Amino acid sequence: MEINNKISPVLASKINTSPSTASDESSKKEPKTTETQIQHTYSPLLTQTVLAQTKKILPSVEAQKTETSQAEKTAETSKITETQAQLRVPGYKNNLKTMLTTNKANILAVIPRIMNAQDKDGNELIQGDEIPGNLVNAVDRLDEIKNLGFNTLHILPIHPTGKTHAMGTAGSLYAPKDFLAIDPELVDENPPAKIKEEIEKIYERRTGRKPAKFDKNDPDMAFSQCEYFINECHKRNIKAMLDLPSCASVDFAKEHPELMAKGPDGMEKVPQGWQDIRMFKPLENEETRELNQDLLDMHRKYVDMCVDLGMDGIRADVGRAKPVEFWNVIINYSHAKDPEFAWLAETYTHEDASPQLNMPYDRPQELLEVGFDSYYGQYHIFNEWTKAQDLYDYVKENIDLNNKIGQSKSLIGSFATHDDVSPMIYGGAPWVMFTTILQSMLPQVNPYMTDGVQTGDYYTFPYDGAVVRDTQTDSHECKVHTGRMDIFNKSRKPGGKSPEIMEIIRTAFALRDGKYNEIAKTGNKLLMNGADDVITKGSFIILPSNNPEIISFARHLNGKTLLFIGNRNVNKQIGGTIQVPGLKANQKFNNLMPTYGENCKVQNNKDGSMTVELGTSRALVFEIDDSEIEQLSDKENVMHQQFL
Amino acid sequence: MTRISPLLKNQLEANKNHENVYRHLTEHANDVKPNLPKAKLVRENVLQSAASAVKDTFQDGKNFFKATKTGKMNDNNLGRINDLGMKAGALLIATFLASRAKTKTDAIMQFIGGTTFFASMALWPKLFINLPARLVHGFRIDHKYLSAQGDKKDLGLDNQFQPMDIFSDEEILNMAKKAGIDPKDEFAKEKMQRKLQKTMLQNRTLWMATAGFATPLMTSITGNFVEPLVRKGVIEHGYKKTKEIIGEEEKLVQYLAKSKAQVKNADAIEGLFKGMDTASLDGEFYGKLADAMGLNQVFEQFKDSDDIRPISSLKSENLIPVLMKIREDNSFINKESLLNIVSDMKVIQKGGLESLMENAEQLPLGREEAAKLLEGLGDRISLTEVRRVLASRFGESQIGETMKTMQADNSQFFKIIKNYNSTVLGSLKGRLKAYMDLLNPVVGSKSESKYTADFTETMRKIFKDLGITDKDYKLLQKGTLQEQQEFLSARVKAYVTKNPDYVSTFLGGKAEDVARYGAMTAAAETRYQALKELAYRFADEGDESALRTGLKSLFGEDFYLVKDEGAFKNFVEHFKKGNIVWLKEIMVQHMDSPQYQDSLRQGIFPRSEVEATIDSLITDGNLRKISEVEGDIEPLSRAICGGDSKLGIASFIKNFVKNKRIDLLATKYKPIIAANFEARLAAGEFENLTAQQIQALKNIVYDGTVSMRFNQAEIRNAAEYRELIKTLFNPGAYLKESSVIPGFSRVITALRDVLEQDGDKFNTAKYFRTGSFTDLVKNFGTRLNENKAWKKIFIPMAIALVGITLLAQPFFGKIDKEFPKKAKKEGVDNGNK
Repeated sequence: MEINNKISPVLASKINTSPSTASDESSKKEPKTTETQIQHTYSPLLTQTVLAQTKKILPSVEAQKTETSQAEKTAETSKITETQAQLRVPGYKNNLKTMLTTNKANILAVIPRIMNAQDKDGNELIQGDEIPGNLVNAVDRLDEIKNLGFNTLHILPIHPTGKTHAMGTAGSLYAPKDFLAIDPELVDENPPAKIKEEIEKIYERRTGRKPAKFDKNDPDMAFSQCEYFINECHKRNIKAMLDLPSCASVDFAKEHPELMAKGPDGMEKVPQGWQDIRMFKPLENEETRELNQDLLDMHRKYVDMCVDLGMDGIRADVGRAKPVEFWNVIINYSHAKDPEFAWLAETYTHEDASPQLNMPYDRPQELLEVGFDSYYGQYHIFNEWTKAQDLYDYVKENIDLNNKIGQSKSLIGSFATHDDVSPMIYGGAPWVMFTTILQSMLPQVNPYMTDGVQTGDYYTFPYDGAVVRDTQTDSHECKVHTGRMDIFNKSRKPGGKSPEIMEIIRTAFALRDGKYNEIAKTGNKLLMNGADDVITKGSFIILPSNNPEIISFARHLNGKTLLFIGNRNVNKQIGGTIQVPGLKANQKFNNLMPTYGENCKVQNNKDGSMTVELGTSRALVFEIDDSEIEQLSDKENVMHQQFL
Repeated sequence: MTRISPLLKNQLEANKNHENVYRHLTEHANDVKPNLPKAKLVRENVLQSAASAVKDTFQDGKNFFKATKTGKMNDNNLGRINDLGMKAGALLIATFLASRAKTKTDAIMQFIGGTTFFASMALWPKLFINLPARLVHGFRIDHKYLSAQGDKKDLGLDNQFQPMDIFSDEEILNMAKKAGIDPKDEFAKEKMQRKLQKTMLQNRTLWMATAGFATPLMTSITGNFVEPLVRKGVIEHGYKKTKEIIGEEEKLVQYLAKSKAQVKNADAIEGLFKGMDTASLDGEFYGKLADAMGLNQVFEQFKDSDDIRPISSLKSENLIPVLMKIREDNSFINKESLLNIVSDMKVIQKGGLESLMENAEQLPLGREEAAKLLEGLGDRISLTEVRRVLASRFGESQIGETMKTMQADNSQFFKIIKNYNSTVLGSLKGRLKAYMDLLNPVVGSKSESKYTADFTETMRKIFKDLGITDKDYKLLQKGTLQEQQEFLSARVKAYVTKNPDYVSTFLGGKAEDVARYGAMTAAAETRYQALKELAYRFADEGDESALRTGLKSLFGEDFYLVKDEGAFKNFVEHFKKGNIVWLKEIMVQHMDSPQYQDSLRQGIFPRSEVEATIDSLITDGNLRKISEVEGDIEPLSRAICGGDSKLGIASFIKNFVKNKRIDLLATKYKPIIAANFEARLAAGEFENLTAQQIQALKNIVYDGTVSMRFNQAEIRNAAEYRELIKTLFNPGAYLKESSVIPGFSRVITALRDVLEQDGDKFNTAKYFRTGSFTDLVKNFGTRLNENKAWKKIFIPMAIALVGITLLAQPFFGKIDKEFPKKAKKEGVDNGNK
């Protein structure tokens, strides 16, 4: 069953623009058809005809009862060699799945509707003629983001928001009114001429016609501008991962009751604390665990839409909100379209880490086993871990999970997500810099940050709770989850007053990316080659310290060693002695990270140990010549993430 | 010609492939299964559950100690530590309170209270919520599960997170069957889960709502019922132990020898005087020295009033001979030690303080010497005169500093004194405690002795006999002293009028005892008549031999007129003078004789086991045993007894027990005295007295604290007062009572002895011995009434609470009949805005 009676722009664009994705051997041998050729070898009019025919040609699920073996064969052979994105941006290739599973993604969470908003009056709320963030002006920020070393965007939901029982004046990003549409508010109706021209080309390719005007209510325009944004990301080799909301708005629920879960009392299920959304019913029959085909179809279309837009992956909001059977279909389906299509699950490591009424249990292992590449984990409670051992235990727990599953799985550095208060509130810029360096050095972690934190945004807004006249929803209250990114209103561009954080990000990511010597301004040079491998693939070695607060570990690979030493205490300087097995007596310590905050002292005791005095929230990284550190350390202190 | 793009052709092919893939995937969606929950249902029977509780408590302790090292603990374990902490805290508080409790029962009740509190906390939901829920609904609501992280939790702990999938379908359906849900119902599983969740939530809410009342109520009611049993147990245990120890010579010796082991360093006293020239020291010095040592303070530390009284005689002056004796054995001089104290004392003693003050300059003390003087005396001595002397010599401003220096803890003498306190006096206390521990379960005046138990029982009988109801008691509480007295007087009078044989019946005597008493008094009358006849015959015949034979046959060989030739002659002489009244006196003396009384007592009021035990405790044989052991700590004996009698301590104990016995008996027999008074008053025995004098007697009878001073309104002078006391406590007036009630004549004599010596300084002794009958009734009434009132309030509350809790149960666990098929409104607006 179709969700929409009309042909969705997704399907239309898919049929119109999808080049050959057939994966039989013969097609691989044939020269690839270029994007230019596609646009000029057939009539746009024909597209409409073909479109109609396609619907007839494509057999329904019920009609196509072929043998299972045949279907499996098809699945195996339906490998896609080139994706939409690849064709649109020459030289670009999605490898986000590989990046995530090999810990190569540096992720920034962005909200297009605020990403480059221009708040003229300084009240931090975008009103009147102030220009909100949109898919066009967001591009202006890509170079800056790229420059910091981010290579992946987690794009928070971009769909039109529900208006009923809404939270905030723009509606919660996680209360979509239509999953298969793009929020018209993200459309720039008057982009600069050069960009306009480029978008027109995209529009024409997608629709077969030129746009009469840049109308935000034209869904094709929204899709075109989104594609433009993604293309621009890809031009900078930035991957784009779209956020798939776990629930739907009240308005959506009214339109699609068949998709929604009802409580035993016949009422729609509401996730605790979220008045504006309703839960889906992913299982038609909980006894037989038969899936809700309609919901599945909608999500399939969602994947189609993402692939069509050039998205490189999906971040699944509240992964546990849908069962493994559901994800089994959707994720594998996405891989049929793009084998590198990446999946990030918002799921925690512990089953009952986040109990919530009406929400199923959080069992991350099954989500990872069914195809998610990366998961949130629980680094967001790092500030509650008062001892270094807590961190070590957690690292071990996740590495053990990875090795147990038998597939490479990673976490994101979820030290602060949009669901958490800004790390600035916990410990200011030094704490942000500390956690940035730490997550850049941890194994099995893809560093992650929410937009704004890179310059120290506290996410506090003067309009918090204010009642305003202009609203896009039924709420006039500027509801804000204080201290968190504003996902409810058209807010100002994220950012704070601590630009020094950026240098830390740049340097730490450069070390991860193997570009330290090119980028770092610390005055120190890395002697080794391939520091990135040491961090992303190397072993994790706990270095025992006589002070349980000192976080001290080494990353080691093929004789190359990096040391991390940090003080997670935001209030107190700490000191202690750290055992570094194999540490040479003449080893000098040059901190590879920029200096910030209070001073630190490091001394080589020449007996295989070092003594440190660490300022509050200070993190130090050293390269040392210690090829035997792994062999000389206690076995229980050495952990290897297996890449399978 | 328009041609179909090969790209489009490929695309259609791809789409077809994707469609196939999608179809294949949907068809095989269920090839993957959700992981089994890591959480597991805890399946334990009652015994296993109890074992788990112990195991879990140990695990909590382990987690706690781990957390103290690592600072790491999850919320669940932290919550459990709170429970553990409460238990440990309760134990500590109970231990602290028990250490300060005045009685063993109180001490034990502290622990029972703590235990009962936690038991109530645990049992309330089990007995009154979970069990009824199971009976009413047919399924358990107290499931526990091990979470994915290995934490044991109640299934209903978090209504937002109940991993229902820990039950197999079979289990759920079985549960449904028991809960009255048709297992074949299409939604049986859902209905059962819903019912279970709802029942658990409602019952947990009920638990939370009621626990705050239920736990203290259950605890206090249980405690209230348990306390008498505990007290009885304590008394019986102590009594049994005492009886055992005194019953076997070996055990008694062992028991006392054990306390001897506490003498750690008897040489300390000797050490105190080592090297001193003590030739000229006298009693006054030692007296002050004993003061300086704070001996009296040491004994005041005894917490039990039962212990204080014998020890109170342990005055410092009694220690003087002990100290002197020790001194005599040591005749060395050591100027570095206490020489200066001794010499200064000599000066003080010789010249007197006043003269010394006047001639302060003559004091042979230098500053250092003065320092040593005070140092030696320590900070306990109250020789303010010395201080004044020193001040006049050295000036007030300097003396403060000097004193400070001298009182420093590190002064040598002070150290010795402290050592003495901790060793010799410590053992002395230990020894005394051993005696008291042995005696108190029998004669202690606190709540835990055979005597007090007996007293309590007697009081209950009095209340019953006098018909004092709760209503009366309340009136009694409100009335003035006079009204209270009149109330009691009226009741006693009414009782006596109704029961002429009150003497034997007042204390619950049985009818056959009364009959036996009647027979005995009749026998006594018969004897009296026989004696009269013998006397008349002697008057007629003058045959002394026949008289002697007659007396012998009447009263036996041991009768004093038979035995004592002088007495017989005296009797004859008086008789010849016509003093016939002596006949009566002979009878009285006879009937009052211990032998005669014993024989009567054995007949009517058999000697109680307690009396027997006390008698055996204070037999000369036992006391001799005590004295033999006591010889090892001679200073103690001398200190207590103030003399050098080897049996001093034994006789001291004997007197103590006897006195105590009289005190208790005096209290116990107050109603008899009152009854006697009322009977005599009714019989017109006090006709010669004025109304004021009768009132004075009434005051004495009903309010034992009255003295002449307080009776000024009724009594004019001491002679009149003494005369009245003699009238009231005339042994002859208590003939019947003395005859049949053990120790009664002794009590009467003791009361008379005390009261006759009028003077306010005896008031305390009087009160102690007699107490106030009115107060007694009031105080005992308070105890009875408090308990009754308490029960009247809290037991109905508890019953109401249990009732409400149980009655609530059938209303729980209701699920909508249409569940889960209830008509679903599309787009239903159920926002929680």
